[in-house]
Amino acid sequence: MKVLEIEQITKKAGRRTLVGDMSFDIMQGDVCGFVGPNGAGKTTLIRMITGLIRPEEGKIRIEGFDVQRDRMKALGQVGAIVESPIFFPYMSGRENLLNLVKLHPNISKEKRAPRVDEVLRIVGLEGRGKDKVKTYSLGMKQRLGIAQALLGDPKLIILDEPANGLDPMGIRELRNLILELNERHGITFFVSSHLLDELQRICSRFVIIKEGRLVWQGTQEQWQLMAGSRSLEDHFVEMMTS
Amino acid sequence: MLQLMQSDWQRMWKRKKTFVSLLIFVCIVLLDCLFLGMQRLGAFDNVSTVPLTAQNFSLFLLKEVSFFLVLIIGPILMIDSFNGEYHSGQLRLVLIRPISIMRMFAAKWINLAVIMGIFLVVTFGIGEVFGHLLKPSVDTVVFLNPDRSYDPTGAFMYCLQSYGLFMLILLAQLSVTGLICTLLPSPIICYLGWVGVAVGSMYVSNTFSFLLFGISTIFEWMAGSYTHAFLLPVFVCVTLGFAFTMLWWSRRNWVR
Repeated sequence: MKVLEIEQITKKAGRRTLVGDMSFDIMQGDVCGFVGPNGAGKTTLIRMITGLIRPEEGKIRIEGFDVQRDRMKALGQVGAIVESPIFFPYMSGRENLLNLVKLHPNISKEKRAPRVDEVLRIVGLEGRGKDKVKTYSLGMKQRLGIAQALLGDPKLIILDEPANGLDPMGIRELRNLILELNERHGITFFVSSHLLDELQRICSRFVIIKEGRLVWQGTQEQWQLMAGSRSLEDHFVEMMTS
Repeated sequence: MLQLMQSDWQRMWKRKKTFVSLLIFVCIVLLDCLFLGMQRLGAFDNVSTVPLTAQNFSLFLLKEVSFFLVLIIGPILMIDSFNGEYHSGQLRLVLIRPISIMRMFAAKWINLAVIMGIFLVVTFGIGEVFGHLLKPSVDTVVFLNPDRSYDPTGAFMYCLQSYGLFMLILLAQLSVTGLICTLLPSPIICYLGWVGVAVGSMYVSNTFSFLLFGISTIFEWMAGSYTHAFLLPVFVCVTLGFAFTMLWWSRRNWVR
């Protein structure tokens, strides 16, 4: 079943095409890596998926709901960290989540606090929930970012460069968390990153873009077959420079 | 809608700026009370004065604090809510939720209107209490128009009405500031933009002088000597500013 459908999406800034005629689907249960060099249009597409910016052409559907026409229904199915995980620094982690959970109409008033405690437990922040966010490390902010993305019980979680700035321990924690949420809770992930090695460890599928255009999409096995004896990194660099 | 308002209201009061602004404002109101307590006359302008009494004390207190409210506290809180959250990227956390962006703007506007209302209620309450503590009560009082005198109840209603009109001016400022915050990129530029619009509008037409000199406008309008249209331009600013900004928010690209 398709969780995310990108259909002939085009976004321009003046004459420059940021994303051009891009189409692909993400199926339920996928952990999909979204790969491309800096300025390829990854964040622009993620912003369109999360309703922050409008495409000039094309449609984006999440669980069948059009992001432009059925914004509330579509965004009810998705959780996201867009760019860096920014929070309200004057609040604690738990207060941040309690504030944001009010914006999910599918969670009743009585269930808000238990849901917040549940997501804090899932990401392993239950012991630091009462601390102000400004005292958190980047790794903790990433985990809190995933916690806020989990609030509405989404089918799809979008992470934009989640490993940026994390140390190896933080990257490992994040990887384990993504795999656990995918396996235990059946959540589909769409993860943009530069770190191909890291994506290889968690992603079953890849979408590769360059200069706003789709270059290749398929499973990790298909990519490895195509790369042959070369590493995926070498093959990726070849695709980007050809 | 209620959840949106609650969420925004909570964030607003969690920001130190809001609480500190209220604290500073109350201090200024109290200092102005002491200042007025030492005065014998209250001045409507450079020419017209009347004896300060318990019945007109709160009106002159509003005159003292109005500039502070219109030029400092009001813009700071409005710009912080409309532009500051967006500029810092924090609003993205809200925008990616299953909410209506038009309703989110309306929730912010209503919350700011309520906060402005709180500032005015605090001023009026303190003014009435200190007026009766520091100044004598009189049976009849006149305001700017010497031909009209009021008994204590009439004077109370006169002051209340003046506060109500000032609230309308603050709502006009709120809508105009919302629009400025949508068009301009950063909080500091928005503040300069607001000052520019308030000052610049007077050069366009005296009709909009209420944006900067609201209390003088109210004095004259209540006395029946205001020569320009007042309520219509105020409502135009409130409604057009609100509607245009709301529409813009629903269609804009949120790039921060």
